[in-house]
Amino acid sequence: MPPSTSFDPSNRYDRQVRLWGEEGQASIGATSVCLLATETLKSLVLAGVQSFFIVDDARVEQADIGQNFFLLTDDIGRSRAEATLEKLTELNPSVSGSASFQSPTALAHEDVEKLAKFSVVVATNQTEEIDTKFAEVLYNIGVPFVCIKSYGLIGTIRICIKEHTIANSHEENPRPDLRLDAPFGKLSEIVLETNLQKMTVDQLRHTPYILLHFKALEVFREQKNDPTAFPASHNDRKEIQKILQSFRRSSDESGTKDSENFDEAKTAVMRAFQKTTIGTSVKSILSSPQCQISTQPFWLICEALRRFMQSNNGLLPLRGTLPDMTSDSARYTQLATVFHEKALSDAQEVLRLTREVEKERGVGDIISDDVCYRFCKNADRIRVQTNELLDYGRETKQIVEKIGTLNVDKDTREAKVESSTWMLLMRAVGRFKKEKGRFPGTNGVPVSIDAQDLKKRVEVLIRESLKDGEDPSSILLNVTDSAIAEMCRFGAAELHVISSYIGGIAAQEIIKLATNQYVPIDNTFVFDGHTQESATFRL
Amino acid sequence: MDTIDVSNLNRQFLFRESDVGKSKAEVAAAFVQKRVSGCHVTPHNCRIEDKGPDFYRKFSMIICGLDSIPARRWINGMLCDLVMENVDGTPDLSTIIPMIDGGTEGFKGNARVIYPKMSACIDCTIDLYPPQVNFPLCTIAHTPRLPEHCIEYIKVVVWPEEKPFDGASLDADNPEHVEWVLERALLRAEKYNIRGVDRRLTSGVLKRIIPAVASTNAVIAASCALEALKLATNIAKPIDNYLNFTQIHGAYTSVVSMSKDENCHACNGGRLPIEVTATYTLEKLINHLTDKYHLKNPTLETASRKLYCISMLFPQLEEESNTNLQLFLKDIVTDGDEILVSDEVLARAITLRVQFI
Repeated sequence: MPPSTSFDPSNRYDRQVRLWGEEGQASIGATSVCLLATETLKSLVLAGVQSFFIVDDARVEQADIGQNFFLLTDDIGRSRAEATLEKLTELNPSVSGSASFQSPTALAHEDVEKLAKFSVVVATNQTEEIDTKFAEVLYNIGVPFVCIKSYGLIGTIRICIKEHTIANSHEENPRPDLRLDAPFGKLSEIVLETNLQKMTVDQLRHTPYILLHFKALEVFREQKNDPTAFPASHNDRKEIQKILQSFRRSSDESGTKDSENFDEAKTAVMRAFQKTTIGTSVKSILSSPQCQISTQPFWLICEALRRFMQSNNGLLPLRGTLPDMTSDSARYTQLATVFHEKALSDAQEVLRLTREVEKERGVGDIISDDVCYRFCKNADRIRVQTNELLDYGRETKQIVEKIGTLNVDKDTREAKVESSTWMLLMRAVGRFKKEKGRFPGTNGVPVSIDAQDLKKRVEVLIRESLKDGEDPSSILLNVTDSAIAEMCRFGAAELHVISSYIGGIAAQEIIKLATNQYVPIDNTFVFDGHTQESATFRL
Repeated sequence: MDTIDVSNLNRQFLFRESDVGKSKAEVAAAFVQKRVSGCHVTPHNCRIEDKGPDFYRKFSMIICGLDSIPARRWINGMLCDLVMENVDGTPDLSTIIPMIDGGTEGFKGNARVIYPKMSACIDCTIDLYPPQVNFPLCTIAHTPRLPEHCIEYIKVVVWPEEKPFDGASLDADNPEHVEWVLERALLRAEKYNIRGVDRRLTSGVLKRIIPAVASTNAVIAASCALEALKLATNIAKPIDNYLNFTQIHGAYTSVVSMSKDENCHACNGGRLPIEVTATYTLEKLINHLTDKYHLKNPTLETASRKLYCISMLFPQLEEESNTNLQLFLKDIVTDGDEILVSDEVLARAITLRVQFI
């Protein structure tokens, strides 16, 4: 039979739902994006956002055709917003798009309230004035603003948002939540029923390692003559490994003590024998004043979590996923089931507390069972990012400071331009444009002349950032003439490969912001196309 | 040769819903041709292996967006073989065709530039690819504990036994086949009290689906295109030579310089010496080769006889092959003899010149 060609729309998002789940897809499907940019848009339309709105007052020119895949020669002279809109909506019929032939400046000044209805606003290659205006308006109404620059071989992304909450960080390789130090009722019962000595060798070799760990802990406590002792040091954990080794038995046939479950048990000791504590980031979230007052879903559950912990010996809800481990079917599934059921009942309790909080704050039942359950499963890895308002003046100072701390010799400096230096050069270009009305390396002005002019702006920016009397020359040394010349050589060209690269990253960051999953860039990302290296700054 | 599936549409801006079922190559070529004036794109709706050296020699560079390791190894081997030697044995630089390779999985990806025989190639760094994880048969048959175990059991044990759909082989793209497996996997999961078997997981296990999003693909495609642009125009130096990208926690890129492997079979034209001791058995050699070259089911032979070959086509060789495993190499070959090693993952066989030490 030939491969099926039947069209099932639910399969369109299959390959990404495997990453962020149906709940993530639903969040994306409810996201509306306002763009002063298009390259980011293709990845968002494909991902299935609800709607997008393009703001662009330009008409399509010949130069656009080379750098924008979504424009055709026939489009020259048309409104760029409309022409792009047409091509983009083709990509995914379930996404609705609209366009405005308004100037970004007009939008920022006249139609500010319009911006409040978007989930996120994106601007590419706007002036510092427009960026600043948008950032300020959006910061105060709590709408994320993503500010993108694509200039020659350099690309930057600045994510501007007052507060971003992350319910599921998708941390890779999180420490398992096994509760070896604080077993819950059903788990303790299973441990109590387990008797390694009375097992056949075959049963012993199919005992899931978590039970071996508990039994080793019993012996450890006997040895220490302390019924509550728990391995606290590397040596203690080595001790546990020795105890585990003593549990091994050899079978008559093989004559060896080799056994996969014991090998797993040994390897897992270092990560499993950790006290069930709460990380500093979660601790600070739960002690944040937002817990006490906010009516945002994230904070409502956080307050419920805080109350849950108070009546639960300071423990968070159980994650409830048992790591895979060699075992017979019966005992693994028995354990997996008690873990799962305990997680459900913990989440149920958190939900009850959430209802309490909702009632106190006069909001309806906002949090669903599902949302609460998923939140609890990831409760030990929740995060909050907070940022200051975008302020080019303050940030340039920080960049200059950063360059001041670079300690590289002449050869290194010439061989590779540091990301912070590119950042400063981008600011210098902004200043150049503001003062001369054009970008360096354009209008047929020789690069050598513009390079001198650009260097002057670099000097001014450094001087403005330093305190009176500080010597700018050591910092200026890091901004090599060849880096300045490179900036002029770009001639404000927007290379499609760089826009596409930066646009792809920005699209994913927007999905992170919309789904409250994964951890967004905090807060400035710089990409250098020469080396394909990147850096992240918190400005 | 692939055709467009609806599940490709979440990351492909060249394909539309109306294109589902059509050739990927043809639709993509027609689309780019239409959008970018002056650009000539020729689709070849065939397997990469259907083209020979004369075809690949015509290009200044090859950019790969392949979905498997064997395909990468094949094109890599082809480009290595296209490199001619000068009289002094050094590579003739004019015959080197740079290869740019990109790959993604979820929010991670990589891009690399390879100068065949000059810099680290796919086979020099074959250990970068994790070996495929297979569940042990005894686990899925006797002690299943994960939903995946239940699905694998239906696939590898029940399907061949019951021969449903008139004995058709299991086609993961056929919804009826997936449904058949799902139904039985659910029963098995229920029997063992295992949670988590559903249609998405079933199709994922059967097809070994790799999650994919538009954004990572856009980044890696742009990264490859940027390197192609550098090679074509010298606007900047190409990367040296392997880029890692990940965007789970923030966004992170880094470039590492992978080294050539002096014992790489692809860079050495498939001919390599191998040093063995007097007590080296055939089994030990096969294990070593399987590990080093990521082989699946190698066949070994000398000029005069087959040493090891497990194949449905030659069932008569199986018994002898297994007996041969315990033989010492010194009893099979003499110093300087050659052993030919072939395998489905190798573009062409490796010739080992045995040296006893």
